[in-house]
Amino acid sequence: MRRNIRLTGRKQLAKSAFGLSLSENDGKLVGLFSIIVPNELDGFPSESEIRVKLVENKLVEVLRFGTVASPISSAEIKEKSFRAPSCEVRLVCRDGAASGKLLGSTNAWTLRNGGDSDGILLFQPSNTAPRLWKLDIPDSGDVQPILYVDERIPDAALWAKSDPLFAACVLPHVVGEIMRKVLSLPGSPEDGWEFDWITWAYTLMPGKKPPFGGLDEEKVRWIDDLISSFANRHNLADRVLATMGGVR
Amino acid sequence: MSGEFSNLYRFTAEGLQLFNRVMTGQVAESALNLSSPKYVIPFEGTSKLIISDFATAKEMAQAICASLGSESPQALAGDIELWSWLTFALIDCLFPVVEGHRKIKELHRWYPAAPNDWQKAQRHLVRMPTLLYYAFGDDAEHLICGKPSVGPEIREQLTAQQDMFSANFMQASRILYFDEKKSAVKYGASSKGAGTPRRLGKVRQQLDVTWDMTDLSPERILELLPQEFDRFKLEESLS
Repeated sequence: MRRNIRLTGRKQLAKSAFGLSLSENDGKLVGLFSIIVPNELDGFPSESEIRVKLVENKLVEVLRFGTVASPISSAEIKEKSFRAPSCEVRLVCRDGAASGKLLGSTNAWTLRNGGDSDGILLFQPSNTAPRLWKLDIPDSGDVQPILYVDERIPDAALWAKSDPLFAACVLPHVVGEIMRKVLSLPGSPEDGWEFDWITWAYTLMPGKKPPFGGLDEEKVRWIDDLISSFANRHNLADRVLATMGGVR
Repeated sequence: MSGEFSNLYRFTAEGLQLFNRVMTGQVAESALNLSSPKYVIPFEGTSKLIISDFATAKEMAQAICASLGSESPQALAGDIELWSWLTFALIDCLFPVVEGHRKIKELHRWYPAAPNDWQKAQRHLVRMPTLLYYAFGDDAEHLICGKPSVGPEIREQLTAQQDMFSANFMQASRILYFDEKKSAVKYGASSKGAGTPRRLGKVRQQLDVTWDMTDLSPERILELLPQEFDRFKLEESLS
């Protein structure tokens, strides 16, 4: 088992000992917290405060979930724009001059709340040979589409995300394939990975409604516009040209 | 350097492409007509944007926040089309013509990097001041008290870490580096030596290992800082 050794006296807490999720309640965004393994808090002063730090895109918010002796299970989140914040459970000293000292903390992990461009497509090394990549689009549910990349490539998933040529040549096709599947639904999805993808499409083309139930030509045009917006947003062509020494 | 728009706009895909070409000098500015629906779409729900000769990035951010109304700039951080439109609408404030030319400089001063790009996202000359003003108001004054056209060293340094975006840290760094009398950054705060913002970033990371920095009051943060910061603290107590 891998353990982190800290020289500050701060204890490493297991992420798996805590449950955390985001929920909407009466129009308010709420963090829901639970202690799954109570033993994890053994030995900490009872008045120590349980805090969860949420961080995303230049935004920090701390949620307070009571103390070790009296934990509470929900806390309102003031900033509603959190989508996939990085979160970390922290136990903070509440004893006199040492108040504010960190007594224990988990490693950070990403909490998903809706889709984003990293989270809606999973990159996975796999034995795809003789093909370089292969796309797996699930029928429905919460499991996101997976882009398998030839596992013989070192750090295949990272390479696929960062290589300009791969991104420019493959990702537009992937977006098109996935959106054809999404638009085959009779109406706008309300959950599952299809909902995440439609939410993502709205961020690229605000105000441009997906043509569910529309004519094939409308769907083709909408997907084409989406791919152009996607390519524009990420400078796909320019990035490839830059690797070739720029535009002539 | 003044004008007004009835509301905010976003570039269309075509508008964004043309904006990129204008900013990289491939086509003339006049090619991008901000009243053409081919290039821009109105941002419904926003109100009038009045552009004047903004003396500071704070004034510019105030005008944008007023126009956004109830819309959170934070929620719009990834809206490339909006920030790009604002950049072009404010081009005379951000990239004034000097000796017949605009000095555009680095890409991400005018083209918004992905909001989660920790190295470059803070460089945008419109988005970062707006996010800072929206989240922290006057507590971020030391980062937005300069001209809109300048991305100062202190802003680059004190927005480089995610955890710097907490009110108590902003307040502590304002106490250290903002000269209330001159309404400007203190002398020496833009350099790279002891006690400067660059060092504050390093020291903050060290303190963060032992303390919950989001929990400490600004005064407590200042107490914990090593001696090298005394010259800025001292200036504060003398003023």
